[in-house]
Amino acid sequence: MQITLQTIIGGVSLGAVYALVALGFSLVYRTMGLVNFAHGNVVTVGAYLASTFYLSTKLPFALAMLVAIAVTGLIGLIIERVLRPLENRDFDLMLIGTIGFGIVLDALVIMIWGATGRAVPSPVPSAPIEVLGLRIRTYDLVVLAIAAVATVLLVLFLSRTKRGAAMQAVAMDHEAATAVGIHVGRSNAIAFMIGAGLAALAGGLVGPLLYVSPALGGTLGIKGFAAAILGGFGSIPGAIAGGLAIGILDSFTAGHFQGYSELVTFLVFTVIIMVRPTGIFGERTVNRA
Amino acid sequence: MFRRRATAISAFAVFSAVSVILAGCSAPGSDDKSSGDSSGPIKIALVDAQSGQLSSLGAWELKGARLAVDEWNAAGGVNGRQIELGVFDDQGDPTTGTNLARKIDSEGYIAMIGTAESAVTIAMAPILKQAEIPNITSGQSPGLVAAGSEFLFLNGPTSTTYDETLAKHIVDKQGTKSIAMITNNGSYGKGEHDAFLKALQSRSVTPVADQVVTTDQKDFSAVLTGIRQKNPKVIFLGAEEVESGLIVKQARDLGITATFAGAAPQGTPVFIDTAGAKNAEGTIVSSPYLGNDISDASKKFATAYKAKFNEEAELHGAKAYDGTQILLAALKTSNVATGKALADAIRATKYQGLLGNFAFDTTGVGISATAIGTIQNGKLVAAAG
Amino acid sequence: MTTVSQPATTTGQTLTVEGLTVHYGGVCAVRDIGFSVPAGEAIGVIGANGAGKTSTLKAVMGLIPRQVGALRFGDVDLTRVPARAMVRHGIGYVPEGRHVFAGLPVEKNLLLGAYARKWNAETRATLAETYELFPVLGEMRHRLAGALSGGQQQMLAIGRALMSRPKLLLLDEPSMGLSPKLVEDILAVLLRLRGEGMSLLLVEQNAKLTFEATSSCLVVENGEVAMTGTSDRLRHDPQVRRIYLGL
Repeated sequence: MQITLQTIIGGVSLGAVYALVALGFSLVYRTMGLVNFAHGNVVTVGAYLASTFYLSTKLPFALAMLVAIAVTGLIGLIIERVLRPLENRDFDLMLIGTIGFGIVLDALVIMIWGATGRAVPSPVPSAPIEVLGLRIRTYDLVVLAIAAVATVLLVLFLSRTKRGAAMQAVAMDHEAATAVGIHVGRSNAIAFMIGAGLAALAGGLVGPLLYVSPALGGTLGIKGFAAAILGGFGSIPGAIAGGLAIGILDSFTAGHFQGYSELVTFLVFTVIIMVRPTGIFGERTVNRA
Repeated sequence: MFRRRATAISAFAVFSAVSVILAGCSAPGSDDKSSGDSSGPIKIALVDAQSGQLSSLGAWELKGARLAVDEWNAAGGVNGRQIELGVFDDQGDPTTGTNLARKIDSEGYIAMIGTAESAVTIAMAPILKQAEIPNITSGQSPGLVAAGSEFLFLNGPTSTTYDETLAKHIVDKQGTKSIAMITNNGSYGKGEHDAFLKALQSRSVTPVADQVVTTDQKDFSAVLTGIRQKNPKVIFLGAEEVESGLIVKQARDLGITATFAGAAPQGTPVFIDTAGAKNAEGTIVSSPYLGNDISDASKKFATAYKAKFNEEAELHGAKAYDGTQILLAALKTSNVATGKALADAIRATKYQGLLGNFAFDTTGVGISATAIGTIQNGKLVAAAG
Repeated sequence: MTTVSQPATTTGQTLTVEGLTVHYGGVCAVRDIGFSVPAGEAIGVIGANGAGKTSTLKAVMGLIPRQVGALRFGDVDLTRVPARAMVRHGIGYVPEGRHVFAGLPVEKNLLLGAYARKWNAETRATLAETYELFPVLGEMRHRLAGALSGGQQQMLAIGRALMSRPKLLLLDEPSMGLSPKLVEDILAVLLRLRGEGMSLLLVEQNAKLTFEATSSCLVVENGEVAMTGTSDRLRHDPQVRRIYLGL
């Protein structure tokens, strides 16, 4: 029993990171109808930026994260601006455009920070908390808390604010959105910016959990993508559920299937998707032009 | 006037195109081993992962090899010819490696340094054997020996040696019998698993746990909690730098106080940083290169390395440095031979390197002993006694 | 009776369109059309399928590329105004095929109609008026727009356009796909709006609805204006009957 509980705890913090990555995927899809294939690379950039500011310039961790989020938000704006002529006109080309941007970001990361990575010490130095024989890292709790807050803020933004509603409307019908006065390009830019910010948040948070290297975003990107699909692509609660599910699933298979754990995770994922292709919370929210 | 300019431009364009084509057609990369002429630069290929998860190894190897090559070039090269080091990225992938093996053959490289990843080296071995290109690798998998190529040389001990020395220290010297094993399912991890298990079994010791993880695994809670319940004194790690660092970090978070033990990866700064110096304290490391202060030779090497690359030297750089030095020495004694003659020259080279005294046997192994060190205060030092 | 439109004033704005041309690829969908919608008037645009009616409306809104000689709303020159800014000039748009925001609830759809305004008490008041005009929307206010029937979605689309308090309402085939009963309901709404002084530009295939809702019409054929006239006269015109009923 203890192993089971400890396994769940181990999987939850990584699950929260996957959830954040999935949120970014789902948000951009929900508001732009676009799968952003550069998302994983933005996670890497965010991780490097946050760790650089934290380690080299010795900024407090929270501040380093905010700077990383701001810079990646800017990157998101640039990507959107470059791809804007394709918006609502050629989705496939836009998709390919994001793949291209992903490659560019990957090359930039290696150019700036080198191909080797760096370890990031935990910003919360206190020892793990012991509860009923289970050990919980304090940093994991921080990650969970921040991920929860970010999710709540995102949900409030989408459901309660004018801009949030407008962002979703654009994806559903960009012509009608224009007719009511929404600036489609600007709305997409903000969506992309928020998506990038979420990616940076995930990357910055995961640094002390793992190891910052150019390959980091690739791994997290794939897991986050799978999480988004599992939860229902475009669904916000789905991203959370999917992220946590994959994190915990990973931990469990690692404990029981040793070297074949990844295969088992993949099989479970495949079965669930075959049974329910739209994902746990799947909904058709986006009409493509 | 305009029309004449246009004609001139097109004529120039045609002329350039033809010259380029002609230049490209001349002297194709030969499968004759003397790389075109005997007075041009000597071409040596360095093949390693320069990108991807194992890229730190590739970067270190490149630096070690580069240091050796630049030292020789500054002293006049080999027989007056400069040495040209071509760098190739195998991305840690065996398929890419085999493509590169064909490529360096067709481009006239006469020898190869690398790779640090045994799976890639083993994949490349048959092609290099057929092309008769000697290869000095820093991999340590016993599978390299099993490949049976007279063109393959190891500039470090095999896993068998590492783990035999390690087991000797832990079981025979320290008397510890309660040992758990965590290895990954990559080629290094598998080699380590088998070698250490064999070393334990030859001492009638059965590990209290034998867990295998995947190379990409990020969370080890399940495995570690199980091990914690068995309460071993020592946990053997058979995984690369970053992954083993994560295992140690998570183990300490779970309250595991056992000492960790391992081979080459556990002696690197990357491992110590990822695990956290405090968490890695006391780790037992079996390595032929215990540190930069071990000997005068290593101090000299480390100083030169630091001056050139502004980084601390470590095992993999030292391995590549030794390997390259041996290759260059063999080139000199054989008067820049190639193919089988060069391989024989390498085998005959006796070299006192940073890792120890090299004397290659017929299987290509040059070093058959390692030393034991421990991690103290975030640094690898020789073990007491 | 509560109003959902601005009360008609003597300084109401007239929409003037001259020389409107639209090309789709190599095809000329609209050729040099001109008309005007005087303040408080309802003008109809009728014609067969593919005659260029929808293109005309979309071109006026700026949703598709167009060439135009003159485009004025009152004194304001609209030739350079982008589509998203038209609503701020007092022009509301009800697209062909409804185009509600299917994944959002009815209330959100309506509020988004007032995107160009602040979402404050005044907008909430307009929302209440819209619910009064379309009671069924009030009942379904929390349902997703995509779950509504065709007729309800049409009401929603009109209500959404009204939320911005436009002075001129452009409607593109509001009766499409609706039963005769629902068409009657639409007609009632249009007449009520007209009674409150709103200008209407109604594009329709349903000639009966158009003649009853509007005071004068354009008949469009192959992208050009074939005829104009008062709705009363056109209703009985044999040429119009030929174009429409093939008689």
